[in-house]
Amino acid sequence: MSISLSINGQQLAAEAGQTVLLAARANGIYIPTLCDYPGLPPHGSCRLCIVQVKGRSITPTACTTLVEEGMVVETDTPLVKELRVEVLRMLLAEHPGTCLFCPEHDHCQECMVTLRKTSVTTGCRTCPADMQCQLQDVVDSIGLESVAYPVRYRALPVEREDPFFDRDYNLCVLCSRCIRVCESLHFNNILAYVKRGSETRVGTSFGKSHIEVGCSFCGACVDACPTGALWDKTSRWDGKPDHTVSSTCPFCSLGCEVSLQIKTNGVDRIISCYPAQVEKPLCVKGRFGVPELLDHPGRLKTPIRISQGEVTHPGWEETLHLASEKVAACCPGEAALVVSANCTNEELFLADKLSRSLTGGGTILDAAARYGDGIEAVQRLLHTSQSPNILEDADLILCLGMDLQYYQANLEVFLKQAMERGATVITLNEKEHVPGRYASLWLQPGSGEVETMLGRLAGGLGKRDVADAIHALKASKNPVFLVGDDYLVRMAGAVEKLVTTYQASVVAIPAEGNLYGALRVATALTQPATNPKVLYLLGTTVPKDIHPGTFIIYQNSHMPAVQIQNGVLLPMAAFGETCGSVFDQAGKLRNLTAAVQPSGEGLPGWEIICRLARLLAINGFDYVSVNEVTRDLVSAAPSWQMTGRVPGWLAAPGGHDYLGKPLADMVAGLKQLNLQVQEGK
Amino acid sequence: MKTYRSLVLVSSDARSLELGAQQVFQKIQQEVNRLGLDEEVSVSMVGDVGRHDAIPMVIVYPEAAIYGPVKVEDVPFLVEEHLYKGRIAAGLQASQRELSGRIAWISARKGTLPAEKRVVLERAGVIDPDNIEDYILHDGYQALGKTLSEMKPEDVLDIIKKSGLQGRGGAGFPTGMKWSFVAKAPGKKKYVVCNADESEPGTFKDRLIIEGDPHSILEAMIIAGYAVGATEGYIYVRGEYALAQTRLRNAIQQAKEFGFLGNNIFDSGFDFDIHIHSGAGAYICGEETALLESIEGKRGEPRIRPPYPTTSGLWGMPTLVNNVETLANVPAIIQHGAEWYRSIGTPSSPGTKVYTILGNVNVTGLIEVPMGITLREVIAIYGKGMKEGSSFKLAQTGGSSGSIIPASLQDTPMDFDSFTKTGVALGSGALLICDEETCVVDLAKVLLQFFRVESCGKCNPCRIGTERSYTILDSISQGTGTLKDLEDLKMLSDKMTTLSNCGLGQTAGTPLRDVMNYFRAEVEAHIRLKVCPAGVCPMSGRH
Ligand SMILES: Cc1cc2nc3c(=O)[nH]c(=O)nc-3n(C[C@H](O)[C@H](O)[C@H](O)COP(=O)(O)O)c2cc1C
Ligand code: SF4
Ligand code: SF4
Ligand code: SF4
Ligand code: FES
Repeated sequence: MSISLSINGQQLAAEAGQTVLLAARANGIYIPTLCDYPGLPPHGSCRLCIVQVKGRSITPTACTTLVEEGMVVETDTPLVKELRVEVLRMLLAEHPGTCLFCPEHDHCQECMVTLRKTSVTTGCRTCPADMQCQLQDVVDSIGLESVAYPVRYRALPVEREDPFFDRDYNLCVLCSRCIRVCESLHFNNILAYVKRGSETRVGTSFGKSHIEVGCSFCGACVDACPTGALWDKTSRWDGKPDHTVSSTCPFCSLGCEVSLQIKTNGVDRIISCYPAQVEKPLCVKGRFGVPELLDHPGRLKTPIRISQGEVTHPGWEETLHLASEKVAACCPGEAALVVSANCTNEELFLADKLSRSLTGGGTILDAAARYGDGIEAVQRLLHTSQSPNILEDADLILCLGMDLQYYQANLEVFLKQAMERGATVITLNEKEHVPGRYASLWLQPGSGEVETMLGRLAGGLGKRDVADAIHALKASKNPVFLVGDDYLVRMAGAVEKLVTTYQASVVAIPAEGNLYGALRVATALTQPATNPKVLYLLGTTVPKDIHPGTFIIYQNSHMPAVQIQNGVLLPMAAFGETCGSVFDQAGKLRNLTAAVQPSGEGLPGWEIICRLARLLAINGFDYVSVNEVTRDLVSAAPSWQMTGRVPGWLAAPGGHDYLGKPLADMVAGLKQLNLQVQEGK
Repeated sequence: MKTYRSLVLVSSDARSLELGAQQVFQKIQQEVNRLGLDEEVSVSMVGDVGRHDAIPMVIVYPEAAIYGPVKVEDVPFLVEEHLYKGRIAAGLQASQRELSGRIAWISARKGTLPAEKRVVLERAGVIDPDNIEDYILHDGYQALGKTLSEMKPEDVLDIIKKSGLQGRGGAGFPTGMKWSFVAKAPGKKKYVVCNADESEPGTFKDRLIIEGDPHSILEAMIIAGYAVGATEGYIYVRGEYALAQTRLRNAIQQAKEFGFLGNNIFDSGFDFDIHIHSGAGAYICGEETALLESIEGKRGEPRIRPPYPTTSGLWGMPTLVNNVETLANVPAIIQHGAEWYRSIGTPSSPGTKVYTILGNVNVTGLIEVPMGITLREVIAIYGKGMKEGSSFKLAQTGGSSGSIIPASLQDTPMDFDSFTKTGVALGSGALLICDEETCVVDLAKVLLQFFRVESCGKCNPCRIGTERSYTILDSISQGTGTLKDLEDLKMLSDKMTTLSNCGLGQTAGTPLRDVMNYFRAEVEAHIRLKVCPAGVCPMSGRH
């Protein structure tokens, strides 16, 4: 129903149930706010959004007042202004004001004139949020020019012991956005107001660290904070990003939309990675993994040639030439091309094409070694897998081998929402995990008995522990199975059988960023180069059991973990440095954007393959842009035919790898989380 | 009904119990039995008797003889002298100091004092609070019987509305109106919540009501539940009130055994159950929406209103929240009718009000008097005048959110109207009487200290305003204040009132406002002359 009201004399239409604040905003009328945040219920704590409403003696807050027919609202009367100034004056009695009222501020940003140490000219870095702080905006808009009351500095130690983000509650304005975002966007309750009165703070239960209280480090609180109180460790002093670019998180098959924050400072750099929409938080990998991955000291920056263990840097031309010579010297069957399920579609497509003309067979997918015999079942499951959005309509959700403690923690929202609307959430997992503690039912088989239990569920005649689950499954009209990486790897066949029995919809979530793409684009596996003479490793790790004489073409964004005796290292652009696409776990094509230049002399993966192919005089590699490749691969018939045997020498990658290296080896905080998981279990 | 020749009451407030009241009680029973008087003499524990200078106290009717402090060893002599031989046990009598509170009322029955008017406290101090039969003997649960057998819910709403009963929890909201809001609100389930958080400094009337007469609260809640269509009740009791909680638990147990609580009460088809929730020491949890949050297991933080609890309260369901004293009026109104109730008090504020008198008067304690009494009367009649050599300067009503009453306003009849008329707020019913030795800066500082600690901390104006006001007052009291501080204080008190979300922040500025209105000269003396006229503030060298 539409409602008409007037704000500042302007006649407007608004929706019934809308707040005055949103109605004003929708019509371009600015009302200063701090505690308001998209997707959160109003809180009414900052009191900045007060307005006058004709006929009311009080000045209500716009964010908590619903529109009414015929309402007459004023947002900018002298009274309102006076009150706002006073709120702000009070607020600044609790907040350091250096960044707000330093007479040198603007000047300083530009030329860094402020003297700090002898002979060092540098700008003050008072707060990570400087120039991107909502409190600064509010002060500007209200036009306050100095503090009115003495400032009471809280003198709290900055909390740094947790990974990924620091917490400096001296800068906190107690807007509760972090608390509420954790509670209602993420349905977690890590943060809360602690203490009361003028000692009120944001904190965790009993002052424990975030790791201890079970924080998933999704970073939604950091995204929500209007001040510099919560900030990424990696970008703490980088200042305001110069622009943002949207892309797709490469770290798992969900393919969350991200917004890359870029700083232009001579060389462009990705300083941080935010969710593209505030209402859709990322998980810890996507939110915090990118800058550390890209800035890692182990980045491969120049082409390298290794001969009998001796390293030289001959430049691109010569290195590629050498590689092509080695390939050309092989008979069919003597060369093998291994790809990673983290590669882009374009890389996979071109690699497959190259492999076919060289060896007659497709590429070997390294993840095949991980999935073993289950790979065919995985293919079928993934082929029918749907987007997690379908969880919204499920009346029963069965989680199979999911653990949402850290990775993919953003899926928890679906489970908690489901519980709230009365749907049944059953989880099957032998270990302590999320959502074990709050699911309607936690089926906990003994270790080694998971497959048996899946079988009993499928059999439909289970007693004792599974009886309730079977009953619920049979009664469900719209069951959805949420299949995690763990069981996809270990028992895809049994999972598939269960799915068929109950005709459930499937949301399968492999850990690899582009497994769907790898299975759709590439044909492969069947070629058994038993002991290849030349091994082309595209984004994968060097197999341990390979003959030392093998010539290795190692194309990757990071240095190999093991020494190579003979071969070439080709520096490849990493995520964020190259364009391309991936398929998410529901088969949706998602774009990756080149936000910055590749590190060092690195080149986009697709380009390296093309150059090598051209040196080998193979036709069909004259692409000049990645889009041409994308077009070809999309129109090519999907394969979904991974069959055959996994070569014995092929090394199985880990689940949470990026191009053949464990992400936790490159992102320190993730290692800390892994340790936590090991300790907890 | 059995009649007794003598009635023996043993004080059993928390302090008396600590000092051995239980043992005294048992010993009296033993002695009475030994002398074969058990058919003629009834012995009861009665809760707080309103006077703490000689406890454990033993009061014997009908002579209204007061003994105390009584030790176990004294009992044989006392029983033998008074109950067996029928004469006053001279050596054991409490001092002949003027009687206060409940004892004053006991004497009033003998015609010695201008009458307090007892509605709420009628049974407190007379019956054994741990014995439901005693309550029933004193007309207890009759109102409930009448309600369930003769009245429709609308009739109950009607009579409460007509009685003109207003909330005694501070805001004075018309109770009948609140009840009908809840009755009208749609909801799968409804709740009745009794607010017994009572954490205003200096206020303890609710505690004494519960300790003395717990069943009256249960009865009122069941009646309220019937009227509004609720089936479950919560009593939110301040955490420190251990004895009150024990008495309530016991009362609930007994009421269940007697069928006043539970399913199908009196075969009427009406079900009602009551739970007790203990507070954990936060003042803000007395605010009704913070209280609801607290029952739900969350941090005590006031909600945004609307929606009001009457439509969306506990777990989102329509909820009636009433103060203990408000509820305690209900059974009497049902029994005696709205007309009777209206005959007490003033036309705009019918009924009585329970006050706790504190401060520099001769007699402090608990009184229940008709609405509309003036401060001068309270001091003269019930306080027995200001203490020797002191004269009245001001009174502070209603704990911290009440107002400050200067001498010039002491003839204002105190009721729910007086606040809008003259700024005299009833608040929670505490009357802190201060003499000339009281410094207004110090008083305001103490109050603001309370608010700055007890604010929930959620909204900026309240959290920071109370803190800043306190700091400014502190600096004035140290002699380092400036005249600009006065402007700041005025600004802060005004803006806190306008800008805060809940009653705490909205009233935190009241003491500042009153001090500036009535005692500005005294505050300025602190600043201009660096002198504390009352000689309290540290700069005057007394500390
Ligand atoms: C800060 C604050 C503290 C309060 N404390 C109490 C209290 O301790 N007891 C109480 O009955 N009401 C208290 N109230 C009032 C309640 O919010 C509510 O108005 C009352 O319980 C309603 O009952 P009534 O209508 O019977 O008065 C408080 C209000 C505020 C704003
Ligand atoms: S840490 Fe940030 S988001 Fe959280 S309450 Fe403080 S200012 Fe608000
Ligand atoms: S859930 Fe997957 S895609 Fe989303 S942020 Fe985490 S790792 Fe990236
Ligand atoms: S006014 Fe004070 S006590 Fe009330 S909600 Fe705001 S901060 Fe909390
Ligand atoms: S935005 Fe309305 S009170 Fe903060």
